[in-house]
Amino acid sequence: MSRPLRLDVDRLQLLMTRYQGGDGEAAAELVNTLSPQMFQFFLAQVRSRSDAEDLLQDLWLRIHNARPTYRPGEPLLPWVYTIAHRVRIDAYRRGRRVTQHEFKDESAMAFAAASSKQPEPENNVSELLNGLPESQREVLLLMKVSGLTLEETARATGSTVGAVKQKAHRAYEKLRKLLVAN
Amino acid sequence: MNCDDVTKRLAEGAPLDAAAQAHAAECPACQLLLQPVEDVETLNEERLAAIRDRVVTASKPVKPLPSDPALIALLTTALLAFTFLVAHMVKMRALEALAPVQMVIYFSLILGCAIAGAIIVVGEMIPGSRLRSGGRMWMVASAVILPLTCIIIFRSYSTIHFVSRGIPCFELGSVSALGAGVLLSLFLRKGFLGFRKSAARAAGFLAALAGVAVLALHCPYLSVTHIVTWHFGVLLAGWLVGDLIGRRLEPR
Repeated sequence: MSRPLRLDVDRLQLLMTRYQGGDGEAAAELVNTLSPQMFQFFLAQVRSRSDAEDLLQDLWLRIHNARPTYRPGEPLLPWVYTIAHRVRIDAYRRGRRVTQHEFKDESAMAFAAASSKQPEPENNVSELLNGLPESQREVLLLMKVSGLTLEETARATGSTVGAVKQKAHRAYEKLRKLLVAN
Repeated sequence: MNCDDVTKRLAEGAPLDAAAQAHAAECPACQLLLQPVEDVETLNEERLAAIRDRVVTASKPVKPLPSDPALIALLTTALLAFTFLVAHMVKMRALEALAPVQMVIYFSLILGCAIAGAIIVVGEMIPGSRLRSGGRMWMVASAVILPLTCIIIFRSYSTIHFVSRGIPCFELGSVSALGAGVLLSLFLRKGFLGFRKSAARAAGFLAALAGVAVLALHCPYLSVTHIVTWHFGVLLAGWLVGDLIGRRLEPR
């Protein structure tokens, strides 16, 4: 079953403030409300359910440790997504180190497997996002899925508004090309 | 209105006006681009419950960090106190050599750069903060404006005892920067470093500015070549050390 991912940001900010105050119920509600969106964010980037779940767990651990840095009244989503961005980068670096060791053995098999598969036509935006480079995909996910503004996306990714706009533009152009091709 | 205009509006996060909507209604590719991305994969309930239980169990009241202005004031005051303490220990001999105008210009400029640095460092501690943007600009501007100001306000270009006078200054600046760096790292531990490399660079540069401030209070040699090479060399060293630490902090 699918459901829209847009969240009530005012409610989230209130829950976060209560979570800082040690309110367990608010913490539980915050985890329930934010997790599907964050899971989707990670899943779109790592493409493995178990990896995305691990990243989600890591995210909550870091959110828990970093919760004094949230100021009541401030937008919560850029705060959460900055931490999620960090979690993803750390996982990517750890993964790259492991992959470098395994690459030689597996690359030939992976290439053979990929070559034997016939690409299936895709006309769903969610699926086509996988064809984008990571940084463009992340920007598009933040803007399109999470509903972050350009400025919030820039803050979450440690980038500038101009760079985010450029990445989003390139991503949409590439998506359009993929849609036309399919 | 055509597809490119729709793409541009989407990339800017701007709402589509009537003309764009009219185009999208007739263009299948634009319709697909406007299609919402939906949660097609649902999260494993058991895993979610495990995460929730951990968070709820560990949930204890915490005090949010003070506001940005309060943190900036705290950091600036701590660095100023540290600088004056070290300068007092090694004697503030520059105060006798500097003219009042030189003193006002030189010290207010260093203070201005330090406050700007404190703003950037505080921004680095808070996830999603808008304060952290401009970190590179601040470092480049400080590294250009400070030497340029020295060229304007100091007249001497003497190179007598250039190395023998320079090395003790560089050493004192570096040791002071190291002390300020320790202070800054204790401060940074209170926050969450989303972008470790840039945070470490900014902290290294700010710590080096404290070292430069100590030298500005202590060193009575007002030669432009001496100050630019040995005093501001500390800034470069601080940036390099910060960069190295930042790289070490990143997972490999």
